[in-house]
Amino acid sequence: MSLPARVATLVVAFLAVVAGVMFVAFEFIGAQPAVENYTPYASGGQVNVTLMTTPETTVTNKPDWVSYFIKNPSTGSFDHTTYFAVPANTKVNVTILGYDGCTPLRNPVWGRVAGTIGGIENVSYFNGKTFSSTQSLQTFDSWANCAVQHTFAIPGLGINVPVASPTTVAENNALCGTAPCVAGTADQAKAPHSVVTFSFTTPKTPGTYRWQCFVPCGGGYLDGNGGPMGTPGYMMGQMEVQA
Amino acid sequence: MAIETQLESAQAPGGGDPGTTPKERNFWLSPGIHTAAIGAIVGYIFGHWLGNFIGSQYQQVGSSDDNDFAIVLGFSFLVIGWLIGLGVFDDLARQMLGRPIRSADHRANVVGMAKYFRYTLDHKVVGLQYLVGMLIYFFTGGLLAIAIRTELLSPSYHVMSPTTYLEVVGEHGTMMMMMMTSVILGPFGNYLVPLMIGSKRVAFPRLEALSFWLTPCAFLILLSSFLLGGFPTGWTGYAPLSIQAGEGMDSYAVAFGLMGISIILAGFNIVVTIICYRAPGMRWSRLPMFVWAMLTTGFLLVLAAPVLVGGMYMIITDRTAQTAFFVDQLGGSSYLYEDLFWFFGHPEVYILALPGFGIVCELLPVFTRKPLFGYKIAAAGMFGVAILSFFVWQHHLFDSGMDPDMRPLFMLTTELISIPTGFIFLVAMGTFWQAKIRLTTPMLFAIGFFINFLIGGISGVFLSDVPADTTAHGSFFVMAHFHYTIMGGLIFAFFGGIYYWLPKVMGITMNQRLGKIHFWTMFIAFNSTFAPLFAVGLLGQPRRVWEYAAGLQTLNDWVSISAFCLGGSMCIFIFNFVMSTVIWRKRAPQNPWNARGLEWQVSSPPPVNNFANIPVVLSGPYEYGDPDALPVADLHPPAGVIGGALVSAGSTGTEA
Amino acid sequence: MAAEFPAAGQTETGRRRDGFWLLVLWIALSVIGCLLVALVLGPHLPPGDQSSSAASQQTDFTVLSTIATPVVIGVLLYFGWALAFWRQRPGDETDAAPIHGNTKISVTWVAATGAIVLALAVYGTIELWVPAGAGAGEGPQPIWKPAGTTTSSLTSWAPGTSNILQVQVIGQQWAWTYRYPQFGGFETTQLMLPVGQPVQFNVTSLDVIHSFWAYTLGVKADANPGLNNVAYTTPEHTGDFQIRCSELCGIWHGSMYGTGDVLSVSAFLTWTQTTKVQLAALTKILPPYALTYDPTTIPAGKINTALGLTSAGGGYYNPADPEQP
Repeated sequence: MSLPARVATLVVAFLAVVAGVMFVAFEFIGAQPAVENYTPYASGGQVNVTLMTTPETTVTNKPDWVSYFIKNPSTGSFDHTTYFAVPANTKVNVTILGYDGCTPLRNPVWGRVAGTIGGIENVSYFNGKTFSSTQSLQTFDSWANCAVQHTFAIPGLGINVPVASPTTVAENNALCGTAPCVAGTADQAKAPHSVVTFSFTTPKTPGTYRWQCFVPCGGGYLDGNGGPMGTPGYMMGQMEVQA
Repeated sequence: MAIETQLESAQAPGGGDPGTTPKERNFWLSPGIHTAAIGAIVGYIFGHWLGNFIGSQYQQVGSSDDNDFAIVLGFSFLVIGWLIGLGVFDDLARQMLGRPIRSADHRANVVGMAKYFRYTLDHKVVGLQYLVGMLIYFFTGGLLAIAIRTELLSPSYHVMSPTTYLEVVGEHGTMMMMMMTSVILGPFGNYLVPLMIGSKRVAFPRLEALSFWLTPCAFLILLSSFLLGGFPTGWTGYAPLSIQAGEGMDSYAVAFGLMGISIILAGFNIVVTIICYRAPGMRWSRLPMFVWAMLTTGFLLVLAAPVLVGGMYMIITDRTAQTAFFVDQLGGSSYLYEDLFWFFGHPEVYILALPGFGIVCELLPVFTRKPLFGYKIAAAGMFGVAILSFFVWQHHLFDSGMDPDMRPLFMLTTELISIPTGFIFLVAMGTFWQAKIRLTTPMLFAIGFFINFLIGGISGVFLSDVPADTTAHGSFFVMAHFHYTIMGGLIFAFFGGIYYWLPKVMGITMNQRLGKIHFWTMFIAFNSTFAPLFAVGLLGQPRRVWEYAAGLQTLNDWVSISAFCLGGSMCIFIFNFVMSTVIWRKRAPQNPWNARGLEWQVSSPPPVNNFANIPVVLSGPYEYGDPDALPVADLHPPAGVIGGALVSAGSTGTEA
Repeated sequence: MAAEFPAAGQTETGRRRDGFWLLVLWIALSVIGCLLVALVLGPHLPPGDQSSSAASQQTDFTVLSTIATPVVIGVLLYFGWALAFWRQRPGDETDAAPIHGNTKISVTWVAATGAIVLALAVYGTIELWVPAGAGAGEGPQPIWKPAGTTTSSLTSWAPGTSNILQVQVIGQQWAWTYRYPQFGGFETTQLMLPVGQPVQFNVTSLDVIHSFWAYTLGVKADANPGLNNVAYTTPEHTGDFQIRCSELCGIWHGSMYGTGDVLSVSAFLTWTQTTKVQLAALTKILPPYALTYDPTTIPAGKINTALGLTSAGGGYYNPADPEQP
């Protein structure tokens, strides 16, 4: 090839490589997930955060994976993300709507509430027709009682909240079939679920804290900890404490 | 010893008439990389379908939630399709059908760039294919390293999700440790060994070319792991995490198994070539030290890599057919994987280190104008390292709960391996004694090698000591150790070899000034990047973490910035390499370094058949400073001398 | 380096006596270096001296560094000398002297490196043996135990007796929990230890391989599923210490860290009593204390079979598949 042809080929190849690297770096490796920002919605030193657990994730390409959803504070709909932000030094009141069925914990130690205000969580069950009364509970036996569907744990802050699950065989066989699971269709309105509320205080200094589930809910994976347990946006996420 | 003494006009194998030139078909119509790609795609589709078809019949496969069976079969048929499309099996098919084979004649008649994109059997072509391939794999791994250091700039702000971070860490490690196993044996071993021993060819050209063509396959399969969700285990692939992992793990296991096969073939070929294809007069005592390194590396490859392939196979069956080799609940053992992996893994790091020793021992005499000090000691050192490397693997498992009785034993063997490693330093220092050192670019890299390997080797002694290893294992101290030995050692030797031998293999020189700038920026940036990591590790930061103690942020930031500078120095090299080979193309003289090696006695680049006649070797390649030394070889021996030389080569003579 | 070489080191000013000066400089720099390393750097080397195993490792590091110092100084000095004095003059195209080897130097080198290496191996073995395994995980049958700890009762513990404190470290994806069998078997996410008392860590895992690294305590033991890994140490000073996972265990490996605390003996005993009461309801639902756990098989009496639950296994292996003995 002549010199100008070689130079032209080289320049084209160089630009192609640079473009490829940039694409991979920004679109793939550095891609940032959607974050539900609750900070502007805090008032009086408190903020309310709502999450949901579902047995299926029909909105993604992994329909049989369990997942968390977080309520978007501005639109009110439940988005498929597990990243949220709250302000520092604030009391966070968390509501978790648990639409999934029960799974035994690998280590029953995670059946005990820790790190919340009062050391308890408030649970009320919906069995498809009526709501039960609200109880304050601390220890759940996921082996003998089928009491836990997932946990919401922030190990960096010592918080562990087992999300209570519907306890009867009938309820576990009638779980919500689509995701997210909110009142809208007749089927979803009748889905059994639990409503769990608890509160904790965020630290004074900003930072990011991971949160995870300790229930081996990755069905079909060795020890149950693969799949949704290991993919961002399903059973693991990040809480950002903002100044 | 089998010496090829075929004259040029011999009857071509397969029965064709001598002297006929087969018709040269259009590049696009004959097998090459394009048909290989088509074959690979067809193969993957078929394999994937077959996997789904078979797997759907079995309940065990269905319970695993991942489509591992289809993916693994898809990759396997991808490789078969790739090889069929490349024309690897063409000659075999022709022989089975009784038709003349084409490839041996083709070798002499294919001109231009086309031969680099085909299954060409000329070892020089394979060497250059390897060189370009290895540079691509190295820089891909290097970009991944830049991504890792970007994430580690802050202990709390995360650029990537944890899954992506582990994907990148695993890909970086696997790209380097897996793909770069043949970084020197592939390009330099395949290209130079026949020239250095006076042969026109290697023993098994088809195996050699096959070993190269498996590497782009393995590279692309490994990269495809990004599309499948990556693998979370790092390059070591420990079970049972590797059994738990998602689909990306299959890419790792298949790619590693494939590379294992590639390196077994490459090692086998090089060992047989060195033993059987030496020219008359090329006694063991006259063999260049680089060839000794290739011989010992080849032995390690052939003996250690099969264990890896076996281990990867077991991971694949554990993940697809739901066997339980490594799953303790059903009677398997996670220790089994650790032992299998490290039984290969330790010789693997010596597979990486020995060729580096070989290159620098080759460079030192040329640029000090002195014979290699202690030739026999250097060869003994290489053999000592190779043999001992099989007896030390448990030092990766000191804290794993393995039988504590074995620990003093493996501490002893690991400490012992530093003795033959020290021989290389003795040889270097002796060669330096009252020498006339020329600080050319290759020599700078050789000196850099020794300084870096010194630090790397000493840190290895720290790690071999079990009490010290309790703190250092699994921390950044280990990272700094192996980056010093592998990158500071092997890669510096690799670049030194490129600057040294590029005039020979391509007939063009690289810009020496840019080369020296490359060396100094790389040396300073490299040490600035990895020296603080010893401290970081001892201060409590484990490997493969994306969050670390806040107090270590300053050190990590220093390291990251230095790593970016190291990447910049690589850009200088890439610029120099690409411009020299594509644009500037400054012609090189036949022997620009005034070296005595046999490879420098032929033209640059060498002729198609290496030597017009098989040379008769008269003396060793390191006889500098001796006015009575014979020239290294007689390249045009009179007819009839070969018979006489064969007789004398058979007798046991004194060392040169 | 007092061998006889042909006269190849001639300079304009006469023979330079390279060997002599190299030797002198090497010895001088090594002495200075070794003193600096052993006396100035040594007491600050990681991992500090918060425990017996950490202190012995610190000594180990000091000795190794002191032995490494002359080696590094020697090689770097030699290379520097070579680059300074043995360069090819511009315009000089001749070769240097054809020295192929020197038996005396080679034998000395091999003998010296061999002696250093063997001495290090012996020293390392002693340093491993005496401090009860130097904090490394010794597997289920440890052979190096702290002196005077002959009994191991699982029902109670008192300081100063031959009954060693047992702490079970359970690694799971992705947090550490700690079980104290001698105080009723409660399980907590906090690691508290008494100062001055030998501790036996029984490290195990519930799923994949983790590694328990208590950095300033100088303890590192892999947590293997279905296996017990024993490590010993004796904390010597109160204060907190970092705990990190040092074997890649999945996505949150880098976030699997915490802090433990070494308390005075009385504070420790108070803590155990308070925690035992606080966690009483939890301890009732935990599986009985054992050296390893297999959550894939939960005994029928403990699990709610009405709902079809059989294990906390994740369903990778069909529970109906026959198990191997």
